[in-house]
Amino acid sequence: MGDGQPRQPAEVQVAGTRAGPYGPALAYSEGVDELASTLRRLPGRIRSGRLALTTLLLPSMLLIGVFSYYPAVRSLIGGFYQWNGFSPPTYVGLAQFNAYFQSPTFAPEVRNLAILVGGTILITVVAQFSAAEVVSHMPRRLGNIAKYVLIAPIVLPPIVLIEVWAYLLLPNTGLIDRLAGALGLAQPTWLSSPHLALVSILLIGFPWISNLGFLIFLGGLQNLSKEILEASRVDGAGALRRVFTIDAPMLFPQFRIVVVLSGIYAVQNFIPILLLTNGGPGTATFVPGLDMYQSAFQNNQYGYGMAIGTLLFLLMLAFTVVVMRALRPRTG
Amino acid sequence: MDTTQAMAGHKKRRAGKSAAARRARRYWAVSLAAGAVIVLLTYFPILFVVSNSLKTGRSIFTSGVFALFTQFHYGNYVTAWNGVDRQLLNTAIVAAAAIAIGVTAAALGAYAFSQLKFRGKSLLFMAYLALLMIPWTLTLIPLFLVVQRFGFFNTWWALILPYAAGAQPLLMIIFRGFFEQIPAELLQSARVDGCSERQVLRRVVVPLTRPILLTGSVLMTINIWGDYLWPTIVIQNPQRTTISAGIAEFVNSFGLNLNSGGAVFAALVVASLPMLLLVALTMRYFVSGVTEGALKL
Repeated sequence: MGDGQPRQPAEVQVAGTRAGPYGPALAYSEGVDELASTLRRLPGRIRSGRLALTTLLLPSMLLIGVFSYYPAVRSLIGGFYQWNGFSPPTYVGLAQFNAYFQSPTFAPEVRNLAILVGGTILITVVAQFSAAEVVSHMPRRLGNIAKYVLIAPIVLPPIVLIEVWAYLLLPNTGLIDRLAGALGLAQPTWLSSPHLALVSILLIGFPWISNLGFLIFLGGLQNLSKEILEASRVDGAGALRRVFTIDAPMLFPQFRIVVVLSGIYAVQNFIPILLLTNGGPGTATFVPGLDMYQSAFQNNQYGYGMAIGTLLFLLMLAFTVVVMRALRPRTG
Repeated sequence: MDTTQAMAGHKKRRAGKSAAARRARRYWAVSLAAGAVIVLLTYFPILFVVSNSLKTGRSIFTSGVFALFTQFHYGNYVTAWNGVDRQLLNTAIVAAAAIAIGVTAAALGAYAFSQLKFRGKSLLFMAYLALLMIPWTLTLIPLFLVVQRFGFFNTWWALILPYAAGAQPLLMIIFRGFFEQIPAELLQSARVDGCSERQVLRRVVVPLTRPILLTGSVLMTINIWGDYLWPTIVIQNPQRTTISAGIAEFVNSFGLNLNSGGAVFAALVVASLPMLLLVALTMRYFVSGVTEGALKL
């Protein structure tokens, strides 16, 4: 559609692109003061021809520059400086990273994170794929209703879910323990038991359906080619065999997205832990995200917190790349 | 045409069809039963909360496990409303301001990215895609420092601007995709008719793209409504915070005082209901927006 616009001068350019391809990131990395002085000089730089384009792009670029790119760059640098928020930061090289690796909570943090990430991915994929299979087999109109009904709880504030599960998991008086009691089973103390605390955190949100992955899987299943399904039906493949030999392999791209999204979510989601156990009992539910939060906002170790934030970022980046590579759709 | 062949084919198709239909019916039956179970499991906690929100504190713990809707103590809602009404209003104001800024900024940018030609366009757009790879845990601490530096600490600006900024990548991606479908000729003819760029935007683009702007606004509202962590970091005054932080505060204020347990559940309902209503009204926009955003990753 590009040719039909003779009135758009081709040389139009944004004022902020001079710093290079990632103009905002580089320009804003030099600090808020630098940014403010740049802003003061900016109006003089805008020539009349560029005015329209600049006014269109500037608001959004300013927002992401100041509140996304600058903090991201600052965080990557901040890990190398020891800083308590008051006295001037001192450069300490890799010392804070080393201190974190050698801290007594590092090993339990890694263990808990691995369990949470693995558990979350497994739970999410199984629950949401199964739910999508069920809904995709329903008569069309009913399936449509079921889709909306099942996805609606996604809008509930997470805090509501956390508070509800805090109540459901109460020892003895909570719903789960009373159910277990009625069935004559053991009534564990869930969140305050060192062995079950992490499992309890994973339990929050059962049956884990009302989320993005459900929509992603369902969209994939509903787009499966009718011919392939017809062929499998003629071949007499049963429902279960179809799920494993056709649906699952054909939905490889969807699995990949859901694994990445749920993995990243699990790495970052320390809020239920913050609210329900604060990492305890002992270090049973302590995770790097919570360590980062506490270091910065409770102990004023901003540099140390940013070091952990940087490590988490690298972890998620590596995780994404590995999953995207490993789960590449196999052709032929 | 050979009639016998056609008839044989017809017969075969019918036989195949009825077998398929029988199997389809069986699938339906199984899928209906399974669907009922997962809907029940998904909604049980919600039913449970609503039921408990109508009970007095003591009977929440003494009534049976499945004693749903045995009491109707509406006074809980008065207590809950008085506890979080201020925070509900704050959230509405913050969300409205963040949407006004964030959606406007993203719509202007998406218009430029989809309809104008300029140098470095694809590279600039990459700056938005790259943001999808930057997790909020990385930016959390420096964002707090930025907010402090600007003097926004304990003000609504500390919420509004980061929310507006945080929504930019998703909004930009879904807006651009939608804006690209506007035929360039349409805009061109408006320009020929003497519209300025601003008038083109206001009179042609905005009316055509209202559904996607609405989708973006709904997604932002849900995020702001549900965010707990950020307001607890940048807003100290409980009277000035938003609903998720307000709920946590309200729940904590009761501690182990079981007599008021019902009001806690009522507060959870009060915090959830506006979002359920919003999504019930805009479900189609919401679902399409959410899936589109995720699949663009």
